[in-house]
Amino acid sequence: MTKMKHLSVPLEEKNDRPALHVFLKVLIVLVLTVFAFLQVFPFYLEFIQSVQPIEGFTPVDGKVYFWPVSWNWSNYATAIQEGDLLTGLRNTLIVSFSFTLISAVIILVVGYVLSKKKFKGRNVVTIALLITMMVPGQMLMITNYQLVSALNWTSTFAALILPGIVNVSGIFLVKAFMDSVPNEILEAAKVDGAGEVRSLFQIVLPMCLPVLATYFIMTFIAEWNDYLWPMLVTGNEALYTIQLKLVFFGEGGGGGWREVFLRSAALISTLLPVIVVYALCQKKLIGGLNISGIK
Amino acid sequence: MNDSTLALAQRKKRKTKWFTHEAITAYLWLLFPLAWWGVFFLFAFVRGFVFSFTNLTISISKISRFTFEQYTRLFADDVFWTAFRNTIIWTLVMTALNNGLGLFVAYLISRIHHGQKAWLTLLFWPTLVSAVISSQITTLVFNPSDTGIMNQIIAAFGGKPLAWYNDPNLSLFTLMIIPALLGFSSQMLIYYVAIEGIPKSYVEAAIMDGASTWQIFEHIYVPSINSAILYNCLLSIIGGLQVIGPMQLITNGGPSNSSMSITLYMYNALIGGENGYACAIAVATLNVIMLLSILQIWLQHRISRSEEAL
Repeated sequence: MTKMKHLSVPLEEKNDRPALHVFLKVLIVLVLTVFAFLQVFPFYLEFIQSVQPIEGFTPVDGKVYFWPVSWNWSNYATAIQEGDLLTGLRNTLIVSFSFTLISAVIILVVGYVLSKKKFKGRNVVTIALLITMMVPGQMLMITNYQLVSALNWTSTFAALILPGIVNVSGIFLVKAFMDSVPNEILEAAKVDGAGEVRSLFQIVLPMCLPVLATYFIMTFIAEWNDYLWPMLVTGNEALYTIQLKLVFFGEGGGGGWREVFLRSAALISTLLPVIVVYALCQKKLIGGLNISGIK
Repeated sequence: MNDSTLALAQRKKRKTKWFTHEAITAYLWLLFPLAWWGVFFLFAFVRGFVFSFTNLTISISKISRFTFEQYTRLFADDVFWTAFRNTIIWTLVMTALNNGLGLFVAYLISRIHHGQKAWLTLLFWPTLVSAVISSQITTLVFNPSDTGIMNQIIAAFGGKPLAWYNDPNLSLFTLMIIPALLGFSSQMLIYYVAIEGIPKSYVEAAIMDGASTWQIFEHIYVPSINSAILYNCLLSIIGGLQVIGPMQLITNGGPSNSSMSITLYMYNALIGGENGYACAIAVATLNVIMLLSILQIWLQHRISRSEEAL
């Protein structure tokens, strides 16, 4: 199907009503711009709020501030310090990196074995894993919470990292990719005398790198943004992830506008790192979602 | 030899052995992942199911007896039914909006020639926005006080300020707006990829035949991307049925449970120490989600079979 696409001439060139087309295209770009604007605008207002002076300024009733009364970049330092955001950042990085790395190794191994090894019970294992993909997380949340409490993990990182490390959708991502790799490549390595572990890490791993990179970015962002499970299991404030720091920002504070402005600064500081990662990796991310499965 | 013994004989022939070298290495590799999965998925799942038939609370550490009381309580619980209704409304509206907007925007992007990738990048970033952040955006824009952005816009046009999420009649609707605005990006991308896969020659042939834009959309685009539509809708429905973020972070289900969702109700039951009841809520909703997933797989299978038949 995709081959035919390249053979054909773009359809617009054949159109004999060019004037209408220019008009249509302008209209399309206009509509898209409206969408992009609507999405960005609230964040712009949040940003403006984040640099308003925190002392001695009360917004006038009935006025939307499209521009701050003065630029107070020090709000960010204050917000990061008062919200303890650096601890949150450190915790989030520890959790996201460990989870993503451990689960990446597991999905690589399991995806490879399920795709390339012939053994009895393979179909049973595959189908059993497939079924768990359909089980919603909330069902597991309750009993895993009890399990994690029973194991006394609630004041350690283990509770945040370990329960979900066998990432079934990741397994099928790798498996789908390995299915498209011809067996001959792996058999050639076997003839060369490479052992199981060596052939896994020296042949399979480099082949899977594009898939793993996509998995890495997607999982990292998902971990960065998760708040529900950490909120449920983290009993220790020192282990709060950055999202939790944002949820509980200014708790016990006096409230008022100072808190509102600082909270905005905290929000922007929390969002900015993922935006940067996205800007750097957007090709992988957008391209990667294509691999991950829809024909 | 009759048919069944023949089949049996054939099966015996095809039978692979359990303890081949390859099988042993395979199971050695799988040992740890499967054991872990067994504890945190399989065991957790079965336990939750079992707990829903017990009177387990945080104070009763040992399960005492088998009982249906959690379920009878559930079906008589008005708050649960409010949560159920809200969750269904949320799911239907969000599925329609996410997919409608996603498909609309993807279609628009596919119709322009230059800068398609740039537009995708520009409209895809909201997937990075966490539930916590989008909830804070909602409280900025729809703040019930006079200083809320929306209320100020209303005031500028001479209207009366609204209580938004503090108004029982408006709360659920208010919580939907920002997630709907920021939530269609991943659907958009999947629809875009699907639309790009449609052979241009189909569209050209239709134009030659004098088909209108809508006819082309209805008769060429929609049938060509129906598996993407199915996949996206299912994902939206599963996500929607599990919604908790905006409700938990903005209104905590209030005012007077008008924005309660099933997952939030379950979460609160769990936090309140009523573990058995929380499990019953989870099982009751879980069945819906699993049925939907199975339905989707079945439909997908049928679609791919009818495509093969063509």
